[in-house]
Amino acid sequence: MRNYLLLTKTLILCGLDIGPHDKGKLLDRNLMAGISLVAIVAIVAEIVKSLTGVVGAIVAAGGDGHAFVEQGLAVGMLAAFVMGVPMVLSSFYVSSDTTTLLSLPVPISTIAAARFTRCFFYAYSLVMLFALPTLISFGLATGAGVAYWVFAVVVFLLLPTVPLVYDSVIAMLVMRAFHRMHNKRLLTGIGTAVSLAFALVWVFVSVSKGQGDTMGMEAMLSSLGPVGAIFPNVPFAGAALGQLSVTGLLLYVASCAAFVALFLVVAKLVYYESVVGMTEMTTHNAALSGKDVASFGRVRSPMGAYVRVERAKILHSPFQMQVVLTELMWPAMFVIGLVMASTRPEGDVLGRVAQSASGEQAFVILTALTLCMTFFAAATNLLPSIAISLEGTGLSLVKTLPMRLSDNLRAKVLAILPADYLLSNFIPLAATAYCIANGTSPAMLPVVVVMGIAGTVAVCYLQMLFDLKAPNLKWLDPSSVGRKAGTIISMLACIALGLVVCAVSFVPVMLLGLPSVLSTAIGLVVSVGLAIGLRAFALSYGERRLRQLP
Amino acid sequence: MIEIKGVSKAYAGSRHKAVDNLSWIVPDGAITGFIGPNGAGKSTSIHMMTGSLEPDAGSILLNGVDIVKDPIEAKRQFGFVPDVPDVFLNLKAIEYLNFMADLYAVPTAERSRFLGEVPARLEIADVLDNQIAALSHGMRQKVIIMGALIHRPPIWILDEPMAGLDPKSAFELKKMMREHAASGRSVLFSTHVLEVAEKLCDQICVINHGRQLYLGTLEQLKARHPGMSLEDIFLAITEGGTGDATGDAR
Repeated sequence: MRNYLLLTKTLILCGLDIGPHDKGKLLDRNLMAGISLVAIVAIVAEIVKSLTGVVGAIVAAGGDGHAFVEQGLAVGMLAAFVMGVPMVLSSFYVSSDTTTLLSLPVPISTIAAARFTRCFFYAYSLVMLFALPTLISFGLATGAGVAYWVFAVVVFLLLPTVPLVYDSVIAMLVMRAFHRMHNKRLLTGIGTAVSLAFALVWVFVSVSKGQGDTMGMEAMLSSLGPVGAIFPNVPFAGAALGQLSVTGLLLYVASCAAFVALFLVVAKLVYYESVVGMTEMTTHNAALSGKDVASFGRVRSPMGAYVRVERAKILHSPFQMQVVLTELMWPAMFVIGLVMASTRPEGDVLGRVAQSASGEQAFVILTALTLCMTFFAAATNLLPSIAISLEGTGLSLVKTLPMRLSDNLRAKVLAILPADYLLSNFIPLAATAYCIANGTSPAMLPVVVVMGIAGTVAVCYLQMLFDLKAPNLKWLDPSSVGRKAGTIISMLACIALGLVVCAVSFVPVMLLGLPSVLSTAIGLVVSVGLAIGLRAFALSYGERRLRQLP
Repeated sequence: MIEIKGVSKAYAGSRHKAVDNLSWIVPDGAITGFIGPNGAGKSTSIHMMTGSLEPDAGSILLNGVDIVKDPIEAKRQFGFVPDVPDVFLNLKAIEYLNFMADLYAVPTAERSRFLGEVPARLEIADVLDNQIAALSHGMRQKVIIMGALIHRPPIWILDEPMAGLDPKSAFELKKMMREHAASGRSVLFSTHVLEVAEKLCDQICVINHGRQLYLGTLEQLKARHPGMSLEDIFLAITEGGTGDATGDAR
């Protein structure tokens, strides 16, 4: 037990990058963590506020509030299950401390348990967003007493157990089955992609069932029925909270304990065989191909070379699949919304857009679409917010290269920009093409392109500023770089910036009754201005900051 | 030639100077060893010479170019091998070499000549198509060494270059260092291994607690400590403060 506690503490501290930092860095980190916490609390509070009204309406209409809690918990578990896949794979298999841990004189199940516990703590950030609002809003809506809140705390604390046991057991069995496969990183990439694709499908199914009202909410939650059934202890938790059943609570706790026991048994039997040799990568001995030699002989500009290297780094990083899928979330939500709206009786959104394509309304629609997609979708791309951190200890070598440090930063953004722009803006571009085909002035296309590129540039440099302020350069495992408060804050800051740009573009025009085409002009000018300003500031600050960094 | 003039550096939050008033000339046509115990200030000094750290005081000139005032031109003067070769791990070795060649604008003919000669000498020709992360520590070290030398820099700055190299590759590297110095250019390398310094260096600089304790040839140093082994002399200098070795040979 002592070894387990020691290992767990060390792994958690390493994962959170808490160590003997100098005072300034620690303050930065605490500030970032504080801002993240405030943001998460604000989001939870907003969800609680909305859900409390929904639950109140369900209960008032004679609906089943008890079922609402169960479904809410199932959502939380599902989120932990889906999002837990990359976390478990990273912690159990990709982490660079594997060789060291395997050489320690502790049972393999202790190592697995310590890693499981580390994931368990991280999973709270997920269930906090997905299940905690349900627990709080149900308590508030029904005026629950002390017993409910005590039970709710116990249920919440044990909530990630079953989904993470599933993730861990599946991961261990799959890795054991593919033990002879050399490149297990490929498996972890596939696992992450599958889990995120699953999340997208789930969002589609859920949203397509819900219609935004209370009955829709119930329908949406009931759509989780078959998925929720994979968590057998949800009914116990539901009984404990809905009926304040002590037996339900005890059964819930006992079921969690049984799942942990299952995890330990599987870990003891297969974890060693699945993880041993994980860090080994075989080299193949072969002469360079003619293509490689020809490519080597081709002289490129230093800047072009740097952009190529940055792009190669991204393509080989553990984040590429995650970045692509998370950045597609907003466009996917938009398409889902469009499909749903089109299936309603008053639907035919595309038809209505086509009818108004020749008027000023089209400018407004395309401007709003471009601004929202650019700032919101590009904000979910975490690469600019970890671009400096990804250099790690190699930053000192980079600084010895005969290149301006600001060019280094420019290269990072240029490497990210094309894919970032296309992923975040393919819907505005398609919409513009559709509108132009239906009568909108073709002059709108360059406007949309410039606005989108400028917005993406602004988002990239804004995100990079957060990483420059508090980079994490002392990592052992690149997949841990993304777990820093700055990524969340930078994402929220970009979304906030997008909201401000939208407000500046539309509100004055609406309030003053000006021609709506002015919104497009303002949106364009503000986006370009932000791109120029943020770029100049980030390059100037970044050059100074990089000189200070070790 | 590297001219180090009164260079000092203290890290933020630390009362002690990591490097304290270091003055020194690394001459052309010679191999200079930079020796000192762990934490002596060797890496900090090297990082200041290579422009990844800025000195608090003093100046560093590489072939007459100030690393602070004209960093880009100064950085073109040297090739640098860091102590940890775990950089650009996600790139293939050939991609890394390509990158370094592009960055220093190495012409095509020069690249072909380099690719035909150096990988074979370091016995790494058949793994260049591998990702650097897949290579052993020694192989990574060789790739980084190749990247540092690809533009034929007049000054070589190598931080613990022998660490992790197999005997044959270490021998080849030492031979290359000798050839480079013999062509009238400068080589500076840090090491903990006194035997390497003894066999290879024309000049050594011993540093501890950020201060220069000895600068001169090993023969001069041995002559001042008759009957003592090199190890004993090193311990006497570094543990016994400045001792009688300081200044005598400067």
